Amino acid sequence: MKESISIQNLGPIQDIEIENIRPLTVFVGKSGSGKSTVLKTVALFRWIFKMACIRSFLKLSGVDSSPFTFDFGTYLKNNGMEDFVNDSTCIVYKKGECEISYTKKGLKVGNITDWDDISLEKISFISDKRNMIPEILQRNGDQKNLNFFLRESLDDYKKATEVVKKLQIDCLDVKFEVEKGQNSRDRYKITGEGENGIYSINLTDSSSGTQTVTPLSVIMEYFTHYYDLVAALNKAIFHILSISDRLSQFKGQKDLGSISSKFVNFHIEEPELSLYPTSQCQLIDFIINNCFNRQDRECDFTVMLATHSPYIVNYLNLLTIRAKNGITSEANLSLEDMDVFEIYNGYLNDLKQEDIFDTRLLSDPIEEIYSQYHDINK
Amino acid sequence: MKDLLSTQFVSHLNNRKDIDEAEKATVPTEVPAQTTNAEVFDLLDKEENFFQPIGVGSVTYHNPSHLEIVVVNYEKLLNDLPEIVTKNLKRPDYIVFDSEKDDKYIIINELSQGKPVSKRNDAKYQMSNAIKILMEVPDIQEWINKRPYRWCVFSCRNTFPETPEGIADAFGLNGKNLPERIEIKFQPITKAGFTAFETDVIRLD
Repeated sequence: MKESISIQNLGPIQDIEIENIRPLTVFVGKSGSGKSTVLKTVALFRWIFKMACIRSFLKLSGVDSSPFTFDFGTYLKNNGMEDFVNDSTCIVYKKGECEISYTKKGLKVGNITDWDDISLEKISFISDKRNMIPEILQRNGDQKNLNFFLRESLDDYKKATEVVKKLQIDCLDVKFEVEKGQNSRDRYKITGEGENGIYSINLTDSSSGTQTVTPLSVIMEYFTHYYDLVAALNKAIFHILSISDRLSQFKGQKDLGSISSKFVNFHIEEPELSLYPTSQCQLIDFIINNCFNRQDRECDFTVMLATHSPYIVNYLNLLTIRAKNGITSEANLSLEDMDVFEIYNGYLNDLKQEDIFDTRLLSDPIEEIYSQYHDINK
Repeated sequence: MKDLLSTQFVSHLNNRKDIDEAEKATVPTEVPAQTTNAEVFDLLDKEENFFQPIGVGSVTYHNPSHLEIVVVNYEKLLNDLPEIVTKNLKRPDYIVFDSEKDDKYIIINELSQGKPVSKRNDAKYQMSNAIKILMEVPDIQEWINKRPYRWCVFSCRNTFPETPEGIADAFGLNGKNLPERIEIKFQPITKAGFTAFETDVIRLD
């Protein structure tokens, strides 16, 4: 299903339009340019689309009136974007035949009237604050006041670790394990091999890179290998019908599992955090292999990420040349399945050339350094 | 176009803000421009004598049909106006166009010499800003829209500097794999109907 978004006058975003969101989308740009704003806006509208699909599924199954309403004000507050919106804000999201728009007049969610236009969707947002997750869980403290996106990541991590008990984290050459500790609380361990032999430590005592990459890896492993999208949505629909007391209205015309469009959508802030350059590239291998190169996928995946890393962005060129040359033994992805956008002064700059991404803006600081070096060293 | 810049464009700038009559720019204003029909010429970012011997400038124009090419020093045009009138306006170096007889080209050309790094990123915004302000004048918009080749071009002649012992040369390798004409797909430019690219060679018909 074709997917697009346009955003005007939202926080730092002046006017951007992505006519066709590709399976992998990467945003680069200065701090404060709006990369995370775009990520969060896409995640939010994808979530609204997911709920619109659920609503349409129920309607097509005989449930006359919608058992829930959309409260955009609350969504903005949750997303920390209340102050980003003004009278000239305009957001238009479209997936398939469904259009969802927001202007000062409010949120408008299109009705989906055809079974073929319904899509099963899961949205996962992996926050740049994910390194706090091990500490938060260890302290078992109050999680209500956490930043919304951190809470989302935390919830996904908790669900993931109920199922993913062991994971080899290749980019750091360590193993993650979940052990049952005192009072039945889970303990998260990292095992590796160092100069002095094998070690095993608490995740909270591990390196900063380990603490940022482990939640990301575990969450992605869960959603790409273990998550049953159909079961999860069946459960959600049953819950909605139960709390709104509409079970008797439901006349199942189609099983959710028969719906062919199924997506798990990842939104990742700064995957490179605290990682050595080679580890950053290996992490991308992990993401690409799991989301796009596996043959046994039960649904489709999209990945949207915001990064400052020249290593990640340049690595994408390696992925494309592998795909172009049929090298399937390593992580690879076609150029047409990816986009790299710079967000500059609130506008979008598409870095894709005919067969390569122009990554020079991330090398420019190095060029500047050595230009000055030469000037001084004359 | 020179006349439009001299009169309507400057009037538009005068009227954009609440400016005292005494502070406004004179209309008509002299437009710094030079003309050539040379088959090949270089341009350099200079206040006068824009045309340079081949290889000396930041960009080489190939003009095999000997079109009459007008080069307006847009930066100087704005710099010569009262600051209050042009405040916050971005000023790419040149507006280049062929005469009304041919009506083919309008080129916003931003040049860089020596250190393009800091300029490269800003260039697209400078050029988009210039298009926006020019297109606010209806007659200029009409004039521009008649021309089939509406280009924004960032031109520089630099190579990634050699780094001591080659320690960071790898950072310059991406540039070596890019085509001669590197597309700049900056939405404020493309949505205005212009094509943008980076090159130090501009080929006219």
